[in-house]
Amino acid sequence: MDAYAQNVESPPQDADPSAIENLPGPVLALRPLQWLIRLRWLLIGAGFAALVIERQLGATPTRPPQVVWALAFLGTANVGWWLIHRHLHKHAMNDAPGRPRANLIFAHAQIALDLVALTVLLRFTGGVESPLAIFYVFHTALGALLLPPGHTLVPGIWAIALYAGVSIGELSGALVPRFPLRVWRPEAELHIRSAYVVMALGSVALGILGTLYLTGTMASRLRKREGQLQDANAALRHSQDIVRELQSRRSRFMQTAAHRLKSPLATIQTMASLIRDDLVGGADARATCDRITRCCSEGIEHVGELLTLARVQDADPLRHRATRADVGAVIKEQCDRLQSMAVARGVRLTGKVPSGARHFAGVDRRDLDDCVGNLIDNALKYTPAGGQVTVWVEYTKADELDRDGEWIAIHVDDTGMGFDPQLMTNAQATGAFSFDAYRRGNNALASGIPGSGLGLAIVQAVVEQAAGRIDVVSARGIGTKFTLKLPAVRREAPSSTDSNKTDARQSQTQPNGVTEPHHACN
Amino acid sequence: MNKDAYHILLIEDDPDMQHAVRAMLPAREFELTACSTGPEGLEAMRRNPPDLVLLDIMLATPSEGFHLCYQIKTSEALRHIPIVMTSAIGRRIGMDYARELGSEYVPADAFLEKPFDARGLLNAIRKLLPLKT
Repeated sequence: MDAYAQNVESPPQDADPSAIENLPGPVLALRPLQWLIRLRWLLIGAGFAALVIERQLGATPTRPPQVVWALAFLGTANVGWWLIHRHLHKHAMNDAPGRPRANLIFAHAQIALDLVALTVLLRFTGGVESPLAIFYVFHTALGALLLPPGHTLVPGIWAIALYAGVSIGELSGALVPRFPLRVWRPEAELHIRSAYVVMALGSVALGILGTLYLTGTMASRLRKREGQLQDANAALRHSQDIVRELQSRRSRFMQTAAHRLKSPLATIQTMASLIRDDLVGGADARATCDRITRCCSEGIEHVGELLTLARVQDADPLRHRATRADVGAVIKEQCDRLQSMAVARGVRLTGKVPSGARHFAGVDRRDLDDCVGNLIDNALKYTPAGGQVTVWVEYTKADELDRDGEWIAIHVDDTGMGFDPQLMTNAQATGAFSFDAYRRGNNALASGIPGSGLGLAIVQAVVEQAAGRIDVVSARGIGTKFTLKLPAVRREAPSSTDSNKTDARQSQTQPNGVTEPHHACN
Repeated sequence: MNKDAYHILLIEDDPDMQHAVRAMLPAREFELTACSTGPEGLEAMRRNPPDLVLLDIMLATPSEGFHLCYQIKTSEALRHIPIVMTSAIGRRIGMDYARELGSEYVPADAFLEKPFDARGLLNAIRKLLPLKT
């Protein structure tokens, strides 16, 4: 059944591969470079437009062809950048590690070439007097955003050096002729005024350095925030995976439960049809009715266990902290309840409880009843006639749990068929037993002994909620020893919910006893 | 042994269902052999090939019936024997699951969903049985 249920899984929700958050890291790293290429097209276009406007306005002297060549060179270079970007992007889409070094060189080369082209443009559009100097600052800011922290100073130094070269060249008269901007009062001859040149150079350098500092700080914060967002995104995806897995498990559980409930009903209906169709009569009809009754009992028992599991799983795990259960009383009561079953199966059931001292565990009494009852029921089912099931209790210092305080251990030993070796191997490999609902060992299934596969899941749910643990030692054909370790609660501890009258009764009948010897209640 | 009777092999781990199927099949027309496990069923088939196999999907393991069906349908000696698979799981879910077991899965000849009555069982069986001359 479980395997059948595995069939029904929630289909994985397809992620949109084009969404930014789903792109690989190396591809994301290339996106700013892509924006730079697009921005460059815009600026080249604007440069050509300015030239046309200037010509329309009848500027004299006409702008030298070097400006057009510089813009054309930038455009040609941009085509090259675009092709390189395409190559890197394609590579990044196919190669998870990416090429961070290639991306870095790519970014450095673009910015350096831009700065050189800008200097050429500056040289032929007014030199040190040109307002295009603002683009040095702009490129420095871009560099700070595109390059890693240790590299941001490089375009800044480049920009200051190039602007200083133009300024000093014009001041010294080395760069002639000049091509002043028409709107800039060329007669003022600012480029030969040392004070102006120093001021302009200082302003650009300060602007560049200030921009570097500000953008560097901002970029650093953005990177930090980006890292936090990526972490949050990863955590969110992990949570989504968990939710999906839980939904899938719930779906499997519900289908398994539905099938397990349907099976006895199907058998009942099939057998009822025998009576309806007069295929059985007399003693056979009565036997068929008995079979129907037994199937009904199995179905009812299964529904009861389902309800118990649902109650345990839905209940507040903290309830165990506010309550306590008398372990001896629970063992005695469950042994008494299941004694008739043991007798019917020819199995000797012995419950050993301390004759005097009462041991309390920090667990809800009703839940402990279910746990101990299920373990005894299980042991009786899988122990052949003539076998022995023993339930006993002891205190244990649970050092192996790495916790302080006293612990109480409830042992249920049987001389039955033992656990499926595969389950034991899995438990040894993982260091813990996991009793999934509806999972039964192969030998349990092969034995033909009816069982819902919910009993141990209930025990596990309760013990985990009570911050305890389950240990199992089992040998095929020899027997199984279950140990529930639960936090012990002092007798004096107040309890608002421990109102078990059986406890009180037992206290009166066994006053001032000692832990040993045990009192057998079989 | 009635030579005119069809030999049906039932592989079903639920004794109640074994009882029910036995009661549903008229003894004059069908001779029923019941097995509780897959290996037992396979051994019985090899020893005395039946005219039809009624095979429960969930035996000792949840998918044992499917694996057994595959073994039968890939055996040169046994593949001609029709198989009716039975289970309380729905036909569609059962077949979907069977396909998920592997592309080499060979489907049964018919699927009979539990619960069924005598008429449903006989209809499913008679459609697949060869005519006795």
